[in-house]
Amino acid sequence: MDNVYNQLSSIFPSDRISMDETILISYSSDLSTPPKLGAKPIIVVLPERVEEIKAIVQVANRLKIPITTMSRGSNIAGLSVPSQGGIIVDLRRMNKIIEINTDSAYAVIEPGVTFHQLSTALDNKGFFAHLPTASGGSSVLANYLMRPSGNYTAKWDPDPIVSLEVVLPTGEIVKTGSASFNFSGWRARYGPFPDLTGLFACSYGTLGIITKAAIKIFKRGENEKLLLTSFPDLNSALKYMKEIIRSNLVESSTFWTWGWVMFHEMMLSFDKKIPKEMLKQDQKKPPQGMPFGVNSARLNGYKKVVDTQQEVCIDIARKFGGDYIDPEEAKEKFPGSYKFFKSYFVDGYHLKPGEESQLRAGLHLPGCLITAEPSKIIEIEKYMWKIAEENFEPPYFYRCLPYSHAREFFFAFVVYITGSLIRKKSYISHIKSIYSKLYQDLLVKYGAIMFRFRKDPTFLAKSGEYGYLLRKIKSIIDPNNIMNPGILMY
Amino acid sequence: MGRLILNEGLYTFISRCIRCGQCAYGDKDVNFEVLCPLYKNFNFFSHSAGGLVQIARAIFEEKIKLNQNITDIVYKCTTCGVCENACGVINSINHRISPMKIIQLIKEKIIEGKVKIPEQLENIVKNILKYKNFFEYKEEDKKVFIKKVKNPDLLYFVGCTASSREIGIAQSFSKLLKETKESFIISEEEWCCGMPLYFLGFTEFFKDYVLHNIEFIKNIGVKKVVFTCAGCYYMFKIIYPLFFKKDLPFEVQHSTEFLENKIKKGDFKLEVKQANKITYHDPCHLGRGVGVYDAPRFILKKAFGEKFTEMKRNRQNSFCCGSGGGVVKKSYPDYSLKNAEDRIIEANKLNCDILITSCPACKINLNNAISRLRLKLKVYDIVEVITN
Repeated sequence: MDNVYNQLSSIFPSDRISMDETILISYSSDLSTPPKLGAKPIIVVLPERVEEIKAIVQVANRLKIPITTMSRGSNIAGLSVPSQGGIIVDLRRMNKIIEINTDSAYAVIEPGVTFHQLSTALDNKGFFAHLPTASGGSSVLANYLMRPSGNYTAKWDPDPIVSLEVVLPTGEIVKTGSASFNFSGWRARYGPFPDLTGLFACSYGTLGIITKAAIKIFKRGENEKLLLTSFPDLNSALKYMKEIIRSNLVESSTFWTWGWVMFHEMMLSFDKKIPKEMLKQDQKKPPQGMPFGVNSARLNGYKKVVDTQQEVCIDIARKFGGDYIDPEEAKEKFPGSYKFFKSYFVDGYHLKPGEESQLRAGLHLPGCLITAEPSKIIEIEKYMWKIAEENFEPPYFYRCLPYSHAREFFFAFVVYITGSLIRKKSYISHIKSIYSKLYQDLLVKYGAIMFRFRKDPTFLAKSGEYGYLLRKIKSIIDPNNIMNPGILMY
Repeated sequence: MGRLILNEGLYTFISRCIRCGQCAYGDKDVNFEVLCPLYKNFNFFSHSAGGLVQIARAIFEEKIKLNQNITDIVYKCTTCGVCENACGVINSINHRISPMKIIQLIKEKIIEGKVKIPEQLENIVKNILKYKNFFEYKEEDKKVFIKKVKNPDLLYFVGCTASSREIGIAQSFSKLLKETKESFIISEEEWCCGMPLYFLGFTEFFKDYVLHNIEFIKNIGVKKVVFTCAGCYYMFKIIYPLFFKKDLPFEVQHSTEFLENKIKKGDFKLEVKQANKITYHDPCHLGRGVGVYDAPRFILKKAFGEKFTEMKRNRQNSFCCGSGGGVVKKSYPDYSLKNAEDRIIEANKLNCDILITSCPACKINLNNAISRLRLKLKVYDIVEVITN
């Protein structure tokens, strides 16, 4: 232990390195850490430059000590908690927006850059970026590497990463995409060679420390508009979403069941008390005056075009049994939700930190998040309602959105746990155990793939030769398995 | 070592914290920059409210024992309230719990567990218990006059700092009160509001101060109490009712709120100090603590018109002067002054000749920073710039 400190303290000034037990314990748990468990790191460092990171991995490799990176720390699935101790590399001081290239429509950022920071910087230049429902204080780079369940991901490809700079576990600094050629800039992900950017996506710090990323940015149009429509069921909403996305009418489209709309309302507008309608057992039936679900779509472009696109969308909604929601009516009927929709889908900003984080904090559990073919989503919805009715206490609700030209749909089902969590410890464990089984069933029955990483070796075992190849790659890149060991299948 | 006992509400809070880290930051108006003095100075996650929530969880789960390193972090918290302002968990559940409450709870357990605290902090407590004030002055040495009248309308609660170190504030405000024709009293029965005791975790001692101060004011029979100290006002307005367990038997107002009303009613005429350009520092306990932002600005705009300019970090995004009600200043003077210097540099960049605030503790620390930086900028309390 002293050996690591001695070697790293020659690189880091004393205010950026610590072995203090109290400091270390703050890095040892997140929401996913079971009570009384969680491994404590032996040392924490706060690098500011890529050369410092190179030095860290070289020391760790020499001494065979695990490294866990923490970009901003807002992950709640244990990805930035050191499951086997070792070194915590806290990247929050690497928070520079290095370049905003409006000519080639990309920005180069460091891992500590937050969505709050990026949105403001891009807005000043008439651009925006994919905005996920993750916290505005979370790391853009880390979130994008895990695919954002974002608000602009319907029309555009869901992967907003162009190219990367990575410090490999053995200390080499590698750039991917066009950035790998010194004079070509960061503009392109693909060249005449295999795509190495993709290798690091969803690798959760197991293949190296990513120190820079070029991300896609998008131009704000003359007119940015929120279009709200209501639907009596998921089936009609799905048909609508598929049609408007594939006809290039909107940039994004998300369907929220009434429970989710009321949840936003409760957090942002009501006095935080849960409305009694949400506590009814049958969550499929909305209360009087509420549609089953609301679709929020973003339109962006020249005013004349946007106006026409809106008209066409409304016609399509009506054709499939839906209806237009007038913005004034929405503001009056659900002001809190309207504020949320407008902020995300038009303004391109997370809500203010205090408001925004309560939406995240309110939903204590990550929920069941999957992607599946459009035709399977209806069956999945039925299956989820059944599981919920048999196992969960209301309220529970879901949202659904088309991904990547509606080739697949994202489906997120969540349970909101009311009241004291200490009293509901066993219920929370029960929900988690149901989820584990659920992912297996959804994969086998409906071909649904878990959206975000969960520690679930049986799920990964079903990936066949893919898993074999992945392990092989890992053993070459990280021969001593120092990078976030215990995550994925390494 | 004391074991941290968390009630259900606090455990729920800890279980809902997603480590988003926003508790250390301001909002869009300041480009989400770090505003928490603790985090800004010490960099590690542990030195932010989110990190302290994880530390509280570790204490609760007996993964770590209370120790001097924990003490060293929590007592550097200036109680500036940036975390309260930014944290959504507070609002997501119907409990009177917050990051600051969790930090407070750790402090209370440190005291309960008899963990060693810095000597300077121990001395603060001893002196307050002995002299009933923060600056160890005897009753007869109190520099502010005692004013007695029959059937007064209001009581001016002067506070320890304006009673001994910043008497100009007390004199100026007394003059203003006279001009408004208010029948007011300043009482020798006033004890320290107890803020240092409370924020150091000595809640058992603190209760005596709450009860004494409420009792003597009740006996005088005034309907209103006014304060020039943001810290005293915060304690009476926010913390006292938690301990008194019912509404206070009198109304409380900060001097800025009181004067705003009087100006609006035309009850007195402003006599303004000469200045080319002025700016205003929001005291944390008045601004984020109680939510008083508009009253001082109303007065300053009325008094100085276009000469009044805002610092970038203002209102809910204000940066703490580092004093922590005088407690942090006394126990960690260098750290405290570093924050004040940060604030002074910001004010100085505006080319102002006067920086105005509305708390004597802020005034002292900001003035000390000016001396260390050797600047010409002057700091006044708001009541001092509208009286001559």
